[in-house]
Amino acid sequence: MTRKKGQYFIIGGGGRVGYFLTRSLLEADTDYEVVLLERDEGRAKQLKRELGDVVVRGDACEVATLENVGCARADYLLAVTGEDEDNLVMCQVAKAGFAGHRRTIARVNNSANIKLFYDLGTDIVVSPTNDILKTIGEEVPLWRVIDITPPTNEGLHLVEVRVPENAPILGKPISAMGLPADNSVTLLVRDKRNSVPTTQTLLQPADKIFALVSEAGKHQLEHAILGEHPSPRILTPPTDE
Amino acid sequence: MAAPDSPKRICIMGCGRVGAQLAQQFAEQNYDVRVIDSQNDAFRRLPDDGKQMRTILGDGTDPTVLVSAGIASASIFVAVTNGDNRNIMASQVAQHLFGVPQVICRIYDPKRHEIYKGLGIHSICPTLIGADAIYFDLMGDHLVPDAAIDAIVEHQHTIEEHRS
Repeated sequence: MTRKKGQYFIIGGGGRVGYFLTRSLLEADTDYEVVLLERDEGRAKQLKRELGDVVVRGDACEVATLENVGCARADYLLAVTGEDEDNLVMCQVAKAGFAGHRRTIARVNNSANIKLFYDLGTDIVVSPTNDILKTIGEEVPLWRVIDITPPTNEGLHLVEVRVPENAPILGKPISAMGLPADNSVTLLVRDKRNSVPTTQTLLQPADKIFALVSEAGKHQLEHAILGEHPSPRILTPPTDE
Repeated sequence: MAAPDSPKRICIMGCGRVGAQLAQQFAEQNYDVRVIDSQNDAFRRLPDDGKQMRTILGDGTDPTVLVSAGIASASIFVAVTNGDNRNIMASQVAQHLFGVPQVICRIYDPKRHEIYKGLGIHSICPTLIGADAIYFDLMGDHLVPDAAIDAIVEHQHTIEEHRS
């Protein structure tokens, strides 16, 4: 294996995403050092024929495999298999099992897992499903609150939501949402014009708003904008039977 | 919230040999037993007379499946599928998202077992326990293997922490 100076990336999972990612990184900068780990022997051979020595056969969730490729000096670990559980464990093992600091980036397939991945220490979570939903949301209004950023240390995150025709908040000022004190509606997009709303601003149908909210604030926002029938949430209420 | 006199609930993810065996043992102790598996076929391992036992078909790492298994009011969650990573992820979902008081995770790989012990996941490593048992048997030393003692001591700690 050639050892070059520069950023060192370990990529776990040689599916389509892993393949194109490896190729792009190698093309992007000749100083980048890249290793692609693939568990399946046949697939690893095939990848090797195309990408050369950067491909190493091995299970990236195993300490021994990561040790072999020098995980301790890696700058990034990119977990991009098709299985969420493998991606999560790969990131956790690469952090907890090795000295030094590295950024871990995980692909999640079930977008319901995004928050869990952040909570469990993954630095960046990429959800193709969520990205596509966001893009669709630009075209067709989706009646749900969409997460834009992960929570900050204060537990706040940026969300986006469109105001439907029958939103309970219509005709009332933003203050009537009763958001927690440190929460705020930060941007209002109306007829393709941006403005910063005040607590007295009245919302109209088809408005798009961006808000900085806590988990509790997000639920309140959802309630005020989307009413009694928001999109199904995972945690509350616990429907028992 | 469960009524005070209702039986304690245990959710078991993975209905293989260990999962089915546990389900039966806890059902005999009158626990409210919920068994989760992604293969319907797996439930054939459960005893026919399974009173107080419910089966849930689905992937136990998916929070919505866990909700339908009644995890919100479970006292115990056990992850015993054949996949280490699956068990690890489901255990963390049970512990962090649902706050289940007692979570036990089976991890075959000793190294991952070690790492997750450090991350606060209570895990059992059958590889270490099995190898120790055979080793001590062969070496003529019939003491209880180290790994088993560790597992028992750790388990006691968890129970005590839970009580206090």
